[in-house]
Amino acid sequence: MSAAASGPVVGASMPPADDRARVPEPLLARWLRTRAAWVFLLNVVLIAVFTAISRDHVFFSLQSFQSLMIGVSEGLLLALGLSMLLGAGIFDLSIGANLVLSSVVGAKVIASFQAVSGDPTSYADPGVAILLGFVACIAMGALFGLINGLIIAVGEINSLIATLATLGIGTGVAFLVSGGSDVAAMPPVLQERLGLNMVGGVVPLPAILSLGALLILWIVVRYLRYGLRVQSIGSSRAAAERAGIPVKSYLVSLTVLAGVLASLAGFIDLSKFGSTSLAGHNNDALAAVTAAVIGGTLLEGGYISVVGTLWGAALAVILQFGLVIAGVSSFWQLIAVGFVLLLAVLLDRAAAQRRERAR
Amino acid sequence: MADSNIGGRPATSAAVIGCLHVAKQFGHVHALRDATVIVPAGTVVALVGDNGAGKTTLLKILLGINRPDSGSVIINGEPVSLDGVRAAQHRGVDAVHQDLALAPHLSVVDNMFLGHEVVLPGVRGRIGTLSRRTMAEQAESALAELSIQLPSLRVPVRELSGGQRQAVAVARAVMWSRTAVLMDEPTAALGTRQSEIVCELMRTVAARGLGVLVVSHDLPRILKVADRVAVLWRGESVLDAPAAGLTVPTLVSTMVGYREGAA
Amino acid sequence: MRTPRKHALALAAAAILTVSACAGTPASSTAPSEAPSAAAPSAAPASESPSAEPSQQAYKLAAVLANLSDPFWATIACSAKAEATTLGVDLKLYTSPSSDDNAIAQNFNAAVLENPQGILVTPFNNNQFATQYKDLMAKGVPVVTGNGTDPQVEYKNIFSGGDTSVLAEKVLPLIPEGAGTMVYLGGAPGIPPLESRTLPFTEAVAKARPDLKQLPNDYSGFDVNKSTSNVNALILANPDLKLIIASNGPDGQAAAAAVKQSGKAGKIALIAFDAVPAEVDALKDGTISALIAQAPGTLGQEQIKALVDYLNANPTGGAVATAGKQEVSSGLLTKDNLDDPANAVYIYKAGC
Repeated sequence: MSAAASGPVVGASMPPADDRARVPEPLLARWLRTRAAWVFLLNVVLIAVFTAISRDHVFFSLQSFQSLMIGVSEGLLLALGLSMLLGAGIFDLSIGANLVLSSVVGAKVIASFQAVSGDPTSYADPGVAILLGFVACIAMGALFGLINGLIIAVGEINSLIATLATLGIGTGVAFLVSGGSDVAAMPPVLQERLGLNMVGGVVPLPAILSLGALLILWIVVRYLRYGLRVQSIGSSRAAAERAGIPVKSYLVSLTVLAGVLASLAGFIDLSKFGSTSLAGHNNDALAAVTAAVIGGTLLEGGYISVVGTLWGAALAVILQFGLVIAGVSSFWQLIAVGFVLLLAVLLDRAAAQRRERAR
Repeated sequence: MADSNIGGRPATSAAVIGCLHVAKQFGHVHALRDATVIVPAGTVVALVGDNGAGKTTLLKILLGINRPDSGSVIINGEPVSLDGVRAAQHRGVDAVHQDLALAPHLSVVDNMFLGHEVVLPGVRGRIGTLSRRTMAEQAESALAELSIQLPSLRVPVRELSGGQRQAVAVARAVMWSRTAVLMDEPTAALGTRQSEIVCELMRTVAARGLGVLVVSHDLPRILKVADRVAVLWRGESVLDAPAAGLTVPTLVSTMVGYREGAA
Repeated sequence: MRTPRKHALALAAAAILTVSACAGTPASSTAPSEAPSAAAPSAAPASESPSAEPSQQAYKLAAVLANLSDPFWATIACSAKAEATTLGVDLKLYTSPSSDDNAIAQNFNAAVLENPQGILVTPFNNNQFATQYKDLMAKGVPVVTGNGTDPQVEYKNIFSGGDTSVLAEKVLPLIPEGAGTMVYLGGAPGIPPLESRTLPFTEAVAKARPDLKQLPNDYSGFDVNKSTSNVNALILANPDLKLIIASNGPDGQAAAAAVKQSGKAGKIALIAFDAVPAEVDALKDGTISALIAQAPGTLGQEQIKALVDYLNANPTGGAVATAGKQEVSSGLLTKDNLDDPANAVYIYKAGC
């Protein structure tokens, strides 16, 4: 017998398992067994409630949805990156620092094209400046992710500790590069054509970018070998290794992916405000984990719900926006957000019960 | 190096998998001193021994996880040098580990194809698009050939019973091996009926021409299912005989060091 | 497999250091941002200042400042340093990039440990070091703060104040006519210096425009993204919103972005406090109607000057007596007067 590897050894084909007695489950019932479905329904309920109680039902308007879409775009990118990482059983606390550092690097590169320092109208060719700034920003995000990956996969250091460390390092480097304060004076066209641009007058460009990333990752997780293997690593590292999967390479590729997504969010941040926001991303990692986990991605690994991450991220934004439109005071807002978080987790019981009954 | 060779050990050339005079040391611990085990095609060989006798080390060497300090690993009659698990897998050797190495969240089909996924042809295949239908069909066939009945192939394996999971692990090993299947304590966590099923699986696999090496503490059962029994004692092969002529008491005394006619 | 792991760690460390080294711009080497417990040596030995008095002693002074990622504080630190250089004294900075009280306390303790002859300290919790001030003053070390204790125990409280309500009438022309609503963005509640500077102004404007109903204050915790979203919601929920008052830099930046996003520049008056670079940009392009800015440059300068003047006047030492307060007023910046050199003190700089 030769040593060449080949496909599975199966003999003459046999009749398939007899499952005529099994009634195929309706699609709706199967969908309701996922946590993502319940969070989606919760979002629908919240939208209905806020629409009802807002003056002239203004919550249900184009402007409102545009605001929501702009508001969710950064958080969604971060939550997607974190979902992929959680699927493989690793964590990343440093994505907020990555976002900031990448946006600072990008902003500095753009600012270097100013003819007169500090003057946002003195760009000879703002297009080139922005493009190069974008490249620099993404490159920084990928590098940051690569460093995380090397520490976690090759250094074999626990991902929580490793990224806690890179969180501090990244924040410090961001302060060093920026000189301690936000970098502003970006070309106005950055905000006009990117950050605040409504494509077709309807959909904000940042939201299109985020939803594009979402679509790609949905395909990857559901249909591609890469997505399956990532989840297998989180489900059982031993099983993945025994199956011959190069686990370390996969982990590094995931941290780089999360880094790129964070830097994309950083560039969106820069283009929304025309300036970096050094102090505004301290809680980003926590918010991203919350969105991912509420949406159904397992904290312990093994299962990624890309669509669920979208609903989880949307929940936070819908809730906050709705409460302000409803005129709820800032103090009550905090209480309300806490309650809805509990509710979302309790809803998981509903999904779990359906899973139990289906067995 | 006295070994009771009742009934005659099969020739090395007949082995689909085996090892000859293998020794392995970990620091000060001599896990194996002189182990020789031969598994001919189509047979079930039981590897027994007390704790610390070296059974797990032997399995790992046969799988390519560790390399022997001396002696050789035989596959298909030829000595080979294995530099990793993939090397053994390429030669058609696969294993059912004690912890099963199944990914609990993945379905039966996904587990059976993990690492050997089938992709669609063309461009979609190049980016790794899975061909779920093909994999499902092949998995169903493989399970059916082993007469394994499962409630569903799509549920996560953690929702299956212990015995069902064991069956999936065996089916997976059989799917990807052409030469031999090595099993580490396959019935340890199972009830009576499930253990019976797994033992039947072993015979079915052997009947297809593969060699089956089973490490087990369950002496009564293993005597019923194995063709030959090899006993390790403190890293040495001390017995290699057909199962038919052996009893549990004989095995036990050999395992703890009693030699017939030893000085 | 230890060797590859060690190589990888070394590679990672080298990568991080390279990024830090290459990315540090020349300006950052003089930036006042430093790690809380590792203060770098100051850069102004007495012998280098051309305008120093021949007999001016090179006093050893310390300044404890926090939140240096905020241009306001960065500007104070820069001008304090500059003033020290001008006067020929030795100023050591103890800074932290955040407003964490513990970090400030650590810095303050480190500063006191080095026995400075005079100390400038502005904690976020104004009575945090009241006891220590008393001890220092008794030992002859003058203490100047930008955030006075109550009752006063420090030598001088040189603070950013000024009754901003007098500026209210100057902004009235900028607010659109007609009945409607207004809202105050407060950042976070319970910060007395912030409230004492911004609330009187807000009340004065509200009084002058009784036809503008005041919506509940919005507190988004100085989070730019959250604030943008909140202001968007407010604009949406209140089509008759005519005036937004942002009490701090992040809220000003966020409100500007929200107003721009919803296309309401010109229809909603946005008056923001502070003049961080992003707000100045927005003022120039018309999204912000007016800025009420403090004068951090003047603050830093006056605070150091007060210490040096005291030491010069009291060469023999002895317990320091409290000497009241000194207010540094805020100014009103509009698109028109932005370039006036007299208003340069009101513009916050990101670095020295």
